[in-house]
Amino acid sequence: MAMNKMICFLLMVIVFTGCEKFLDVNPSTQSVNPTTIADFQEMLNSDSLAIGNYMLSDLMSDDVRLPDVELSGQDNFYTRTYLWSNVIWNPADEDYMYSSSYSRILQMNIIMNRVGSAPQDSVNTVENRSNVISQALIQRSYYYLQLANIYGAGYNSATAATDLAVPLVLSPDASAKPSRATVKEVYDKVITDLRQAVNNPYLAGMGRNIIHPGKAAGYALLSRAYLYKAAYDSALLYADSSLALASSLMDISSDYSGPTQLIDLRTNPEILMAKVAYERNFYSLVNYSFQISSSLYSLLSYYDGRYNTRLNGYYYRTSTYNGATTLFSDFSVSVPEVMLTKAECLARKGDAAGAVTLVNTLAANRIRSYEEVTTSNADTALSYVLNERRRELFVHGGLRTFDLKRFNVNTNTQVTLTRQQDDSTVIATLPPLSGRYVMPFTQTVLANNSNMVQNVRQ
Amino acid sequence: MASVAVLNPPTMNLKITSRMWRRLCIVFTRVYLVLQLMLLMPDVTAQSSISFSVNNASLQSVLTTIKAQSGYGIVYTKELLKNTRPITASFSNQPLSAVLARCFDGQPVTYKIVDRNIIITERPKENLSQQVAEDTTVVVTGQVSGADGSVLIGASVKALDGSAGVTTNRDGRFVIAVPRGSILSISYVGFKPYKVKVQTNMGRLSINLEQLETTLGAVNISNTAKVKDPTLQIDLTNRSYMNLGQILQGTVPGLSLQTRSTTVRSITSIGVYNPRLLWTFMTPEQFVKAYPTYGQLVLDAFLSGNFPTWMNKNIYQVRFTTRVSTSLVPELRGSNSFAGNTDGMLIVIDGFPREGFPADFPMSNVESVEVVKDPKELVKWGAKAINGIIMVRTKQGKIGEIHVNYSVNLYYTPAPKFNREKLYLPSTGDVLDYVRQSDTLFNQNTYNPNNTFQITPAARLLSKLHNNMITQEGFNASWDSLGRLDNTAQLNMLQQNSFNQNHSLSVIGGTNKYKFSLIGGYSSNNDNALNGSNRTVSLNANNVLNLLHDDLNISWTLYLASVKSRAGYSVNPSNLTIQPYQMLLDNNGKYVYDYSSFNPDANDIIMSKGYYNNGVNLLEDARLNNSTDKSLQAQSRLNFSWKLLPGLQWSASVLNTLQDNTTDLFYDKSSSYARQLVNQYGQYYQNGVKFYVPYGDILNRSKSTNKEWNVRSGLAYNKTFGRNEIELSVGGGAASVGYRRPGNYVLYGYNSTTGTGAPIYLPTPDPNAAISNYYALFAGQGATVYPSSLVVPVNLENTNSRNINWNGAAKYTYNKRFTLSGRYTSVLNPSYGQISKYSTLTNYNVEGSVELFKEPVNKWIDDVAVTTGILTMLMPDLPVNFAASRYQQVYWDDYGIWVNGYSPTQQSGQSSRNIYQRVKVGLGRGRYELSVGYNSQKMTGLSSTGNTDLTTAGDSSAVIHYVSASLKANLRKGLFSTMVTYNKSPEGQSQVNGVLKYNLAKEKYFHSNLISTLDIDGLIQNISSYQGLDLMMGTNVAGGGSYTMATNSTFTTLPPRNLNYETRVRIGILHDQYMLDVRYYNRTSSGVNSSISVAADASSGLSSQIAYSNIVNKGIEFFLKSDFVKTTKFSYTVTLNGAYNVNVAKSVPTPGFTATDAYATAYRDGYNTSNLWAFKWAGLDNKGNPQIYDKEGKKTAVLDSTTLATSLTYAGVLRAPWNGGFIHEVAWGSFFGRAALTFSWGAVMKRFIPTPSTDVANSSLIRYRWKKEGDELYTDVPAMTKDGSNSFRGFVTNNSMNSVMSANFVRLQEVMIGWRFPQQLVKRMKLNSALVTLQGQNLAMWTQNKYHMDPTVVGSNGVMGMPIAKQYSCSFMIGL
Repeated sequence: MAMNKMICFLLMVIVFTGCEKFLDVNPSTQSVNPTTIADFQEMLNSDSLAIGNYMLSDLMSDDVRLPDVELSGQDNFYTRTYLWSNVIWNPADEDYMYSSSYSRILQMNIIMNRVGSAPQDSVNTVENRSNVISQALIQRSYYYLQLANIYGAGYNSATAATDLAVPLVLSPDASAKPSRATVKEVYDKVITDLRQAVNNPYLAGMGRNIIHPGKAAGYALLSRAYLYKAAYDSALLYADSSLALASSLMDISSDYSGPTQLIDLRTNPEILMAKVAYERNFYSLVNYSFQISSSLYSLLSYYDGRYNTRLNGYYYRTSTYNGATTLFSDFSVSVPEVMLTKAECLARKGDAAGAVTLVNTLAANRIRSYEEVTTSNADTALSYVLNERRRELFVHGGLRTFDLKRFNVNTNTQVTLTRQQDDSTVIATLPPLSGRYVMPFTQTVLANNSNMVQNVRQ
Repeated sequence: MASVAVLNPPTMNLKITSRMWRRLCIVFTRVYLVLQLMLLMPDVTAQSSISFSVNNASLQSVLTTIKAQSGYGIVYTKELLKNTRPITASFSNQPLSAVLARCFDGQPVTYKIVDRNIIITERPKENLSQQVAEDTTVVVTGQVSGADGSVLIGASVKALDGSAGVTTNRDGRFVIAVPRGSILSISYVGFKPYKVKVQTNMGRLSINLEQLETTLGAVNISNTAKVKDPTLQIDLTNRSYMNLGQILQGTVPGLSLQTRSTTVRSITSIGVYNPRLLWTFMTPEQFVKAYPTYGQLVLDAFLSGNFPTWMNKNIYQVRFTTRVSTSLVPELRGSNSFAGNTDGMLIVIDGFPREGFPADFPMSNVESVEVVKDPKELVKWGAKAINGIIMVRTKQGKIGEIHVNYSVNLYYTPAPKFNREKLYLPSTGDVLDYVRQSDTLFNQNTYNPNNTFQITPAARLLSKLHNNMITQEGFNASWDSLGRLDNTAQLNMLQQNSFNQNHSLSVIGGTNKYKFSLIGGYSSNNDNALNGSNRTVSLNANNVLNLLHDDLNISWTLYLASVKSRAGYSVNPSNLTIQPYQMLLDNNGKYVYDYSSFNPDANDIIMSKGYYNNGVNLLEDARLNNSTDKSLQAQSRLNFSWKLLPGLQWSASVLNTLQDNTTDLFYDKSSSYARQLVNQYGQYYQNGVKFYVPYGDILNRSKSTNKEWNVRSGLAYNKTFGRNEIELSVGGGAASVGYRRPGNYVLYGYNSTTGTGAPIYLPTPDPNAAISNYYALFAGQGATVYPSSLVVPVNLENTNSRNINWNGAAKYTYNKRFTLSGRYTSVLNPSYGQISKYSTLTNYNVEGSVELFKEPVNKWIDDVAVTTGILTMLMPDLPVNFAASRYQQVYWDDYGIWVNGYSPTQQSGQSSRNIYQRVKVGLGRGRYELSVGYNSQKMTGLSSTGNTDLTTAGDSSAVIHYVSASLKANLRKGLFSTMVTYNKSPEGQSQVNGVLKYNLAKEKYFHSNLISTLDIDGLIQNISSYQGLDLMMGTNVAGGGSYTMATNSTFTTLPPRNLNYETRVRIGILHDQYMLDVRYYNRTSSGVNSSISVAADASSGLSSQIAYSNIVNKGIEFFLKSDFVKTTKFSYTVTLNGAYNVNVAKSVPTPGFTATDAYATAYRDGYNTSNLWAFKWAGLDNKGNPQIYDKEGKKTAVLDSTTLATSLTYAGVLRAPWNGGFIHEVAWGSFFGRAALTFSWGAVMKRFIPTPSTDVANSSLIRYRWKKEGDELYTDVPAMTKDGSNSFRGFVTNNSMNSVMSANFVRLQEVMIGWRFPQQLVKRMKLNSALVTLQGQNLAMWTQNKYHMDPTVVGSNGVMGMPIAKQYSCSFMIGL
């Protein structure tokens, strides 16, 4: 009897272990339900995270100009954004900036939602897990910072707690219909998350490749967020932390042809976290690229590498990607931006020499036969810094527009923008703090979420 | 005790030695089926024709012959035949009745025919008195099946007094002769035994045994004289010359064949331009995987024709299906899916599900065709079967002479004519006029050969003029010469006439031990797409073995096929990449290149530097490139059951599928693909071009293998000792589906003789570096490419799907009064990446039952039994399923994962446990059975209160107590039976189930010379999601020693809940010369499985979400068959077969207003799922702007979201509620003919009206656009404005009542004439039979709309597709 029991038991063991082995298969190499740390790492590998398109918010800035011939064609959201019209979207338009940012936020939300319950396996080490968390938080923060600046007013400490930004979605839910969070709430979350991310002792200064953010990218975004909040001390602090980890520059002053696709940035040491856009539709609508404004044009010398690689005369340069003529832009989080943030903070704190040194270092890698500038006047230094910032960061994921928004918060630095026809007739004006600085939502966004409040433009 | 042998096809217990078999072969003269006669004869007893001649043969051997020829079963005891006399007789084509009368003349026995069985009984002695002569023995025939309808083989049927006992045969049928008044007990392992009192005139019993696990008291008895239900089981008698499409058309009420055409668009391939591979063509699945972030959006955009602004449609080349030859799609009751498209039914041939609908599958090789509509059956086959199943069983082996049949079908389909006017496509003149106006009104482009790409020739000419690159005179000359060009005639060269041939040879035969059928097929098809072809060689083998004195039954089905197909270039008129003035060939017959994606001046520049021509010519590419697909398939199914020991039976089922695919994409070196790719990897130097890719042919070969197996096995043991009876069964199984596609290299500079490619050059010193290609020649342009990326193998894919299941059941009966039984079923699925390696879905049930009073208590109460039991179902706890694509990132040397959708968890650890006590009372001498139960049901994870969606599990736990009841009645001598049950589902939803059947025509009080048949059926069926899951799990349990089927069902989602009402009346008039069958049905399916996706809030990161919904599918099926003339020489039958069907959406989310076509057709609560909403059109205003009537009925040209959202009105349905066929069949001597008309009534369609803007709209209506004041009186096409495609203006123009029109049509689907070769001729040709038919299909149609548009090829956006081709065919069928 005991023998029989033994045999039965052994049989059961064999059968059940066999089962486990038989059923322990990966369902598909191409279709997965991400649950493991290895899955999350692959989610963070996706080069789609480095591809997004915020060129529309660049079209709102004073860096861009559309000649008459480009305004005479089809009436579309590009021209209406450029002209700061009350209505931007056609009723059936999809806002790619909004939907693609949130589809990327969803990826990060899934990781954050599931990382805690990932099964214990060889990949699930403290190091890997915390790096997955940090990278997901940095990526998500990047998108929220973009969204808050596109769909919300510039950060004004007096009104930030009531100014509406975008819904702060932090976990995956297809039917939640969230309301818009305030600008302050979004910034607070971004800063908390980024701090958590960079406090991870395992996170390296630079990521595995340009798609993966490292600590330097986390610090860079913190300094960007504080700069937008006009908290210059903190911005300076984090810019320093970032530069301590990565400060290499690439000399593009001569013999550099400029990138035409994401992979071209692979070996660029300036990139902390790659972000690029392939804008094809604009070209196919007007058969042209857009121009840069004369105010920006006048800042760029013929010897400037940025002029040679990014422009073709007045026109923003086109390239061919996927068989279509494309407006390619590299708006990565990068070393030059951090340097300029640091320089701006130094200048605003009165350290003219420090600021100018940074500007000179950067410009020497940009402009052939560069002649260094010197000044001891902090205001002059600041103007050098801001001019260099404009030269460096034009068509850069909307950064110039975001800068204009933060300058407008301070009454001393407010500017009124105008759009002129070829014959200099003014056809549009954008006063400081105008509601038309804030992007409206599309009909589709409003239709599918009854809690969304539209931005009023007048 | 007389032992009763049952002789019944296809099993045969009578032993025939091989010697006898040979002798029979000699003895039998050739069997001639008098087909003419049979065509004219209804399926009435004793009308089979018999031919044989015997000399001094025993009655037993003569009966065997009769059985073999007639197909009738014979029931007798050996003792009876002892004293019979030998027979000497000769028959030639005699009816069965005449043969039998002759054979039994003067014998001591006589016979009677009961339901295709010849029952032999003792001849009553003449001197006995009338009373004694009354036959006290009643022959009972019937069929035993499980509650799910699967027949039970080997079920025990015995008289309780022990006087007789038989087991059911392979069809679940039995015949037993027992004294009147005795009690028959029908029992089967794992099922509740059923008892019935034997009465005369019982008719045929159809007994559905209740499976032990179901709580429903679902024993349902029906007495019907005829079992063959023509509405489900298709009558194949004398229809062997037809094909599957013809046989379905007009035989099954509610089933109509819909013509599927190009505009039910499905993408066959999508070409993507990328710098690495240039135009890469992928299947939609590959495309979605390769571009996980937006792939689906691109496909949707091409299918709907609505392109989001961010999408550049020019970088894709999309090919749609245009296969007209397989244009028929079966559709049952209008498919019950939210998708609203003509999703076909699942076709299962010999148990193997097939892709697509084989309309030309010849019936000459088919034994039975069955249409399955029962939701209980459909749920087992998974999601694909939601719209119904067509089960085809090919011919099985038969005992007797070997039969050889040969048939051939020849088809001719002329290429559909490409006609711009009929397709409403713009002509050269329209386009040029439009481009010119657009140029005048809007942007006057300038042109720079260096960087102006993607420009049409006409736009380029205008731009050159503005740029002063050509003179006005030069422009005029060029413009005029463009205007004289028209490529319409040349586009027809992209199609071919199609010739198809299908050959089929079948060999059928067998002995009583081994029966086989072999069907070989060869088909060679050319489709209308240029160079498209398909060659198939197939073999279908059915083998049945009865070994070891019939203790071992084996059936083995094998299907082998080798398919080689070449994809042709199919023209899609609405998606042509070239303008109407762009020619394919010049006057000298040379290819004319299209440079629209580049520009000819830039092409001249690069060619002067040493690059190859970058131009494209569709015809050249279609002729040179060769995309082939070779596949080898082997499918096998082995079923066996072996009675190892008395009472011990082992059954097993093994399903095996193997498929090997090789896909070759071959690009000739002269094709545009090869030239462009080599250019792309050419780096320009001062002294020439360095090509990194060798110039030559290109081969992209990928191989894949699909392996599938499913093994299930079980042991059943049955033992009686004394008063104890034990039944035990255990079973288990496993299934695996594996797909392997290794990564492959593309071979450049391919040499077809050596099968090798030439090497790719890599840059030095860094082989991974980028190179700049010819775009570097153009100022302000640039493009980088990475040659190293070409040497990485891509495309690897492996998928695995597995499961393991267990089941066990035990039953102990004491003294036939006390029963204790239990049952356990469990399915294990992998849960990869979870803490637990697999998830478990479990079902179990323990029940004890005592029959308190077995014998009648008094004159009302027959018996009383009490039962108590527990029924439990446990769901696994599965995580939310985020649908994510994992894809190779060649440049980054890793994989990425992207989530693009998610479905709610439906199995999240819920459980349900029901403890019940029941009392069952039999009343009124077997007439009534009443059962009342008290149930305590505990449910965890779901609530008892109205939460029907089950999309999320709660933590809640609820206990409900309820009383269940069931009443069965069997009245009017079995003519009226009914069963009603009240119960609750495991989820706690109240359920009423019931059936009612009444055969009125057989009633004593029913006297009518007119009405020969009158049946009434009724049904209420309630299947909850958990019960559906239970049914799916039940397929893992052996039923009757074998498995009903083996498909790999997935157990991860819940099937939808079903509530089904049906009423049916069948009336036969004048001996069923006129038959009317009308059925009303109303079926509600609810769940997230029969789901719709609704737009999600963009901030969720998803474009759509899955929502709980339900759909009501209701309507009437009608089937009227009239045999107007029916003589031996001439017959004329008309069948009207149709259905009125609507699908209504209930509890769907309210769509938010968006100015999209999707909003105009969005699902709305209470409306048909194919509803169309439109504006009341008010014409154009005097500026050429569209106007509508707003909700107050005021004319307005002010279009804003408030006005539009409130002004939309219901405009009709896009899917016709009335569908059907009107079929005439004529037979005259050896000629026969058939004409089928199909009709579709009650739907509307849209006509595309363009909204002129900067880009040319692809419609000839642009010719009539508003140009000047006054035009609004004549046209509805608005003026050209700068508003884009997504404007309110476009939305209104496209979605107003003026473009909505009737989609009614009648189509002459088919005309066929045929001729049977006369017997003499056939004999002279040494054949058994021969016939020939000629068919024409899609010959004519009548439409109601004034534009004569064929509604079947008009897309949902109103754009016309290519017309459906007429098809001519010819078939020969020869019996050897």
